[in-house]
Amino acid sequence: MVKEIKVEPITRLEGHGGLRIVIGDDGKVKDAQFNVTSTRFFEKFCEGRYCEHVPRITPRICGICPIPHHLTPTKAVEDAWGVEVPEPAYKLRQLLMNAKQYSSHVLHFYALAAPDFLLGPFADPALRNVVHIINKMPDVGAMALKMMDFGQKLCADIGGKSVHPISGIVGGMKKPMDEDARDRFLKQVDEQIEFTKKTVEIGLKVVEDYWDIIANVGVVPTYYLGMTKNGVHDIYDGDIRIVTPDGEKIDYDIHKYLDVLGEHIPDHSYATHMYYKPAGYPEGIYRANTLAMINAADKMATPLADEALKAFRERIGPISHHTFAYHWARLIETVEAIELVKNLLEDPDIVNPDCKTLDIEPKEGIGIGVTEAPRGLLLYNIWSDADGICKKLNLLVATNHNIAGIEKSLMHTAKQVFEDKALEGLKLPDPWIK
Amino acid sequence: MPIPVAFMQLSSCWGCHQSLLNAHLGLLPILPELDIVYWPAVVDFKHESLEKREDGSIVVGFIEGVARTKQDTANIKLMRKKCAIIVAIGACACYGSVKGLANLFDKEDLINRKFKEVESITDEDPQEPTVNVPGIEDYIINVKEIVDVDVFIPGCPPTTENIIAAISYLLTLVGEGPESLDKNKTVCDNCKLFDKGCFLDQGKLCYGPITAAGCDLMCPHNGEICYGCFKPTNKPSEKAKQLQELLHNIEVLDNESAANLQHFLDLYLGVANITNFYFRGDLLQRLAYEPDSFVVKEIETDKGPKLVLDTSTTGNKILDNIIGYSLYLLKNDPLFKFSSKTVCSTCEREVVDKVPTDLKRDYEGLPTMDKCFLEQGYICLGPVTQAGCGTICPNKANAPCLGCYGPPVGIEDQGSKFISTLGSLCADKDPKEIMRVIKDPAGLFNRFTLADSILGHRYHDKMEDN
Repeated sequence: MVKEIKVEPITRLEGHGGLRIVIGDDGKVKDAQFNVTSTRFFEKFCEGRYCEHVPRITPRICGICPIPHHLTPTKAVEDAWGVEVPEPAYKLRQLLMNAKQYSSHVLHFYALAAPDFLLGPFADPALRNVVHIINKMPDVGAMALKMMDFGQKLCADIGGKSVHPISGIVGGMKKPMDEDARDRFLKQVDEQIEFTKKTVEIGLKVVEDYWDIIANVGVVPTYYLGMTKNGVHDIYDGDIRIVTPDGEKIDYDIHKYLDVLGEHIPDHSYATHMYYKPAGYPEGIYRANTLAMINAADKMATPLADEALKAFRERIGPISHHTFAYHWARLIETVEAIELVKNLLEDPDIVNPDCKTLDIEPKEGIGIGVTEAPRGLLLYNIWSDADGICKKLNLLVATNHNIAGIEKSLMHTAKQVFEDKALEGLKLPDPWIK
Repeated sequence: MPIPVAFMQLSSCWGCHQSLLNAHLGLLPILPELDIVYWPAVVDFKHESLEKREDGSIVVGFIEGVARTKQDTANIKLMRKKCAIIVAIGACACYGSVKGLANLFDKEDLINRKFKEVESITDEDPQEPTVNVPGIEDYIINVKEIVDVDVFIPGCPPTTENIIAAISYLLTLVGEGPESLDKNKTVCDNCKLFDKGCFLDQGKLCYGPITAAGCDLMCPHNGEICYGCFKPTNKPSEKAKQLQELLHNIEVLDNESAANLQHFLDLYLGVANITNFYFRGDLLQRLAYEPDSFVVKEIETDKGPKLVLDTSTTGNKILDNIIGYSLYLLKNDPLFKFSSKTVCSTCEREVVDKVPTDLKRDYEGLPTMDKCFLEQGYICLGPVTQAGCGTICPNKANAPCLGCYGPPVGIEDQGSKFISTLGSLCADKDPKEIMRVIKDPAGLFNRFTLADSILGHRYHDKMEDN
C-alpha cells in the first residue's frame, strides 16, 4: 500500500510549510516534498513606490530578520543612484546587523531548535517547546531570554524599532547612537560574552550527545552559498561565494548574480528552488544559512569565533555536509556577532553625527544590494526611474535559498529512515529534560 | 487553571509574535496562565489537533496576518469556530498592512511577476505552482470582513506593551474576580445609606442596586455614588426599579449626566481603556467606533415606550435595559466622544502650525530632532494615525510616522484624510511641488490600510463592473 506521511504545518519556524513523504508498496521512498504554502508578492506591489520607501515596506517580509530586509534594499537603492554612505553610517549598520544576528541566532538555538535536543526527538509534542525549557531549566531559560533581550534592545536603540526598523535611509542613517545608550550597552556586553561562552558549552555538549546522528543522518553533499569580504566571514558587505561539494571556493561580484543564481519554479511550493547556474538543476542545488557561511569562510572576523571555527574544522573537516551541524555553525556565528557588537560599541564613530550623506539625487539605474541575513544570503535588485520610483524589484530571500536544499536533504534522510532503517541502530542520549 | 489560547498565523511575517516574545523576562509571569493549544511558531501541535478541538472551547484566539491564500481564509473561519474571543493582532489582521498594497494589482500580474517574469527564473515555460499548495485569493479581504472580530490590536507590529497589556486584560475577563466578590448580593445590601440618605431618594443616579457586592463601600460611605466597578450582580436589589425610573426621566443628556453615564459604563462593563486595543465587548468603544452596529429596540416602561440599544450584556432584563438606555442616550449625545488620540498628540517635537516649508522627499537632507516633521517639509502621518505606539519613530529614530497604527476613531480612511489635511496645510504651495513628493499617494498614505480603504478593492470592483 502506498503510504503518505504528512507534517502539517512544520512548527517552530517563521513561515508556512508542510512536508510530504510518499512511500511505495515496495517500501521505497517515491517522493519527498517541502510545500511552502504562502507568498505575498512583495516583488510586485513595491512597483510604483518611491525607492527610498521600499526599505520601509520590505522589512515586513520577515519579522525575525527585518533588519537585513531594511538595510539591503537601502544598499540596493544607493547602488542604483550612486550614493556613498559616510563611515559612521556603515559602522552603525554593521552594529545593527550583528545585534540582530545575535538575538536571532540565540532565538533559533534556544526557542526553535533546542526543544528537539534537550527533550529528545520522541518527547510529547505538547511539551517539546521553549516554554517547557524555561519551566524545567529556569537558569538556562533566563540566560537565553537575557541574551535575546540584549540583542533586541540594541536593535531597537539603533533601528528605532527592533521589529520593522526605520532608521536606515538612502545615504546613511537617520541618527547615530546616543552616548548614554552606547555606555549602557557597553556595560552589559561582557556579561553577554560570558553568556555566549556558556551557550557554546551547552552546544558542544549537545554535539557530543548527538554525534552519532550528526555524523550519520542527513549528511547531504550540496553546493553552498555564502558571503565573505576578502575571504573573511562578513554579514553586511562582501562578495557572493559559492562552495562546491568538493570544497572549492569561487567568488563572484554581486552584480554578476544572474550568472550564478538560477531559480526553478516547482509545481508544489510557492517558494522557488534556487540552484548554482553553472552546475544546472538539480545538480547545482545549494544550501545557504549558517553552515554555508561557515563552509565559505576562510576565517572569522574575530578571535574567539575564529578559534571556534578551527575547533569545528578539526572535528568535521574543511567542508561539512552535515545538516545537523547547522546548529554548531550558528553558534560560531553567534560568537562572532557578540564580539563585533563589542568592538563596534567601543568605536567612537558609533556616536558620530556625520552619518548621512545630505546631497542626493535620484537617477535612473539598476542597483543591487546584498547582506547575509540570519537564515541566508539576501539579495535585492531594484530598477529605479529618473524620479527615483521603483519600476521593478527582484528579491532573492534568505530562506528561499534553502528550499531546494531542504527538500534534497529531506529525500536523503527519508531514504535513510524508511529504506535503510537508519534510526534503529542510532545511539540517542538520555534527554536533559525528562 | 491556565486558559486555553491559540495563535493563528496567516500569510504574514512573524513580527507580531516577535514583538510578543520581545517581552523576554516579562513573559515569565504570563506563560503559566496560558494553555497554548496552537502556536506553530513556538509549539508543536499540528493543524489536525486544532480541527479536533470542541467548538468554542478555546477562550482566546489570536489571528495575525492577512488572508492571501485560500488556506488563510479557511483558517480564519476555523478559528472563529473554535475560539470564544477572536483577537485581530497587528496591522495585517486589522487593516491588511503593506500586503494590502497588492490590491492595487490584478492577481494575474502578481502571479506573473513572481512565478514567470522574475529575472533569475530559468525555466522555459514556468507556471504557477498548483500541487499541494492552497491557491491564491483574488485580493486581500480583511479578517473582519470574513468573520466577526472581537478585539483589534493595531500596529506593525503592536508594541510589546500593547500585546502584553491586552493578554493580561483578556485573562482578567475570564478570571474569577476578587475573593470578596458576591454576585448574589448587591452594593445596596450593606450600604449604610439604604434606609436613610440614599442617593436615589435625592434624585441622583447611583448604580449600587445593579452592582455585585464585595467592595468596602468606600464610595457611598464617603458621599460618592456607586459607579458599579464590581460589575453586574445576578440579583438586583429592590431599588433597581427606582434607578431605572430616574434614568428614564432623562430624555436629553446634559454634560454632567453624560459624564456620569460614561463613567458608569466604563467601570460597570469592566473595560478600563488602559491599553491600545479596540475590544468590541467594551460597549463604549463600540459605540464610538461602530455606533450603527447596535440594534435599537423599543421597551415598555412606566413612562411609556422607550428606545434602548439591545445589548444582552447580563441576561437580566432590568440590568440590560439600564445599560441599553444609557447607551442610547450617549449615542444621541452629539458631545459623546471616546478618547482616541493621534500620534501628534503624543509627539515631543515642537509644533507651531504644521505648515510645511519646502516639501521634501525622505532622502533629502536630514531632519532635526526637535521640530515637527511636517514643518520641516517631510511627510509624516502623525495627524491621521492612532496613538499607542509610544511615538518611537518620530521621537527616538528621527523618522516620520508611516501610519502603522491605522486611523484614529471616527476616521474611516487614513489616506484620504491625510490628503485633505495636506491640502489645507499646503494651500499656498505650487501644486507641481506637492506632486513631486506625493507621486504615490496610495503607498505613502494608505501603506498599512489600503485593503481597508476606499481604494481597497478598486481593481476587483472595476473587473466586476465590466
